[in-house]
Amino acid sequence: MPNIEILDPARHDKLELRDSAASGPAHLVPVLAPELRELAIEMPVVLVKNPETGAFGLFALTGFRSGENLFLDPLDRWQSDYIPYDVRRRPLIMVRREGHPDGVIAIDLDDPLVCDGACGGEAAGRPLFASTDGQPSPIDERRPVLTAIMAGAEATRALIDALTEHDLLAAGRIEVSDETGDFALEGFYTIAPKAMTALPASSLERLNKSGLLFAIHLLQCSMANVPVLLRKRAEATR
Amino acid sequence: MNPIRKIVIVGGGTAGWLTAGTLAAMSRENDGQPLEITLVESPNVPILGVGEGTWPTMRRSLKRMGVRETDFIRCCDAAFKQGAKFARWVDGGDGDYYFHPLVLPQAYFETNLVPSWLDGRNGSFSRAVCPQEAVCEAGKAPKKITTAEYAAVANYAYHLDAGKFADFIRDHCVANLGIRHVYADMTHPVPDENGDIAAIETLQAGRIDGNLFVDCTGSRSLLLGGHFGVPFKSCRDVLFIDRALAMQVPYPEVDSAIASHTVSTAQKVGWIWDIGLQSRRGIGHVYSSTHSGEDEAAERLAAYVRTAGGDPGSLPIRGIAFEPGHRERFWQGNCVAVGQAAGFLEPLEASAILLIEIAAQFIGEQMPTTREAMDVVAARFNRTFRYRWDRIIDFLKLHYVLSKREDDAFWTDNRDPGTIPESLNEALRLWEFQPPWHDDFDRAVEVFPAASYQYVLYGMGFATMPNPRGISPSLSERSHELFAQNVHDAAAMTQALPMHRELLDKIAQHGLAKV
Repeated sequence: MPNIEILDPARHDKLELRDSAASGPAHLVPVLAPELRELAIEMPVVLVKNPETGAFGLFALTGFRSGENLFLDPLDRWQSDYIPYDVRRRPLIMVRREGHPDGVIAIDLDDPLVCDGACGGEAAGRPLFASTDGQPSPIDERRPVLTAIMAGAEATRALIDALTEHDLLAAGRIEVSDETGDFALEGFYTIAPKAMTALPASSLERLNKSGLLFAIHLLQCSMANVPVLLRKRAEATR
Repeated sequence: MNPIRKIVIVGGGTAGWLTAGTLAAMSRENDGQPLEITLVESPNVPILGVGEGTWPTMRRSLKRMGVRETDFIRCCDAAFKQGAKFARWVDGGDGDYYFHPLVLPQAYFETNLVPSWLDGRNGSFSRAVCPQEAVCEAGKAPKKITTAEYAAVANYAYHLDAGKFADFIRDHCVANLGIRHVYADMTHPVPDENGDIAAIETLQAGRIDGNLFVDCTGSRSLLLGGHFGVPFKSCRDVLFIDRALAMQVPYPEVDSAIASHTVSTAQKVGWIWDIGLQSRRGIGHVYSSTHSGEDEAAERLAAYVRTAGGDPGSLPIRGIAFEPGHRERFWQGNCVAVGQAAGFLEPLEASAILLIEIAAQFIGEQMPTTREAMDVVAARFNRTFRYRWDRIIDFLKLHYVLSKREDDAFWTDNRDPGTIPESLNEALRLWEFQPPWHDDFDRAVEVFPAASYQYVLYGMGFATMPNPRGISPSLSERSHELFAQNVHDAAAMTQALPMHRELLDKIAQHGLAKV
């Protein structure tokens, strides 16, 4: 469970951050529409419903079972060329607060990246607020990421709204087999195979003008990464 | 050749609008030049708007018309229905109840679980073979907020406000399906030379021509009964119930649990329905006027409402009288009756809206291309629906025949052999020795599957004799695997599903997705 506090230099100045740590039991990483261009050539991007509201969210698929992230090396460092904002922002997060239209920065104190005091051991940490060796401080590194996340939320919402409005989504299913047996990954949604060809010209024009058509094609293309990811999984478990 | 192009539906309500929407949707799907459909509705006849139960077929009907399930649930005060709980039907005692769920028994198309269940006889039949009784008793919904519209975790139908439903379907039909809606009172049908109806004359909109007329004028049956004189066939000699008293009862608290099944509680005379809508409960008492006066019936209803936490003295009560039965034919010439114009029975198994749906579907699927083809379609329609009415009457009667109640002549009269149709008697003679199974029935047109007969027979303690040839080891083993599977499924579903009201609140707030 996250333990989120508004970031306060007085209270949090002793915190250090590790360079890497597993992000918990996730095979789905929340992503934003502006990231699709980079993401789509490396990983499948799918839609998943929020279990509480049923609302669609946009996610990169990094594995086929809970907790499986095939883009992490044995030291939990990301191996993809492009690393999603949601990974780079950690453990910081923007929260809405009255009187702060752009949100305020908060921190998840239970994120495994956070050490209260010096991290010690092999995975030495860096103080949250201090720049070291001419490198910007962890907080300064993350500021542009947090800004991009705030800026990307609306475009993501618009993409999801267009996908539902034009009935472009269909439930997906990926068959996986390994030495423990066969199973299927379900509970995610992709662009329905024939949905785009069925769209009337007027809808296509509207989607094109709003820039969403390209994003939809990227979503479609991103699914070509599924067999690549399955091969990666087979190699990793061999 | 006389092509069929214009359909005139006389009468609105659930029957008129469901038929209009279904015919329009099917024609648009299949015809290069879709049918022109006009619905003529009197501005003066009030719609019978009681809370009603549907069958799971309603999901298909709504989807076919292009209705969003989210909109339907929001606009019609609708809730989910996962079957019916019959209380006090066998001996009238406190622990006397059984379920007729909508989920079929485990591996229903492969294994008949009845012989093995009868052999062990461990508790409720429906609880042993299907997970839905456990889901209902836990107050859970049949799906989650992440489940797509019309998709189910556990098979379901709806409880809905019939008045709101007719308005909702009307708005949808007019806005999206190109149906012409005319508010006018019919004065008389205009006959054609061949005996068909050529047109109807109306007070406000003049003459309206058509090739096929659908009579949805309710119990008045103005075209089929009135114009064509097709006789009404009463079945009060079999099913005695001919009166209803209905009330709308608020929930005690805004967050009171909503039952996701109909509760039918047997009374000294007749029975009481209790269906949960989002905003209120619809509670009503049906009884036989031969066996009870209205005052006694009203007292029984008031007593039930009090135990349900309501204040019957402060609530209006509405009485309805009806003759149970149906027309001898449903399609005559170029006129077919749908809904109460075709017939009406007590709502014990929610057959009223179901019959509208399957009639509209039959008409839509077999829609005659020309007048020349119509007589054959009409003959087939009449055969099929006569069979369906007979099976529904048998199935309703089964509930009364299996009761052991002795507290009133209503119950003992119901078991008088002279009141039991021969078709039901024959089936009961068979079931005494072997349980209902698929091939007992003509499955192509069957209304109730063999599973429904199983749920009612064994829910009510009917004793089918063990097979003298015994149960093979493989059938016994397979059956016990399925019983174990069912225990697992019931626990898993009950755990995973949200509370019924919680899901309805979430649908109101967030909606369901189409996929």
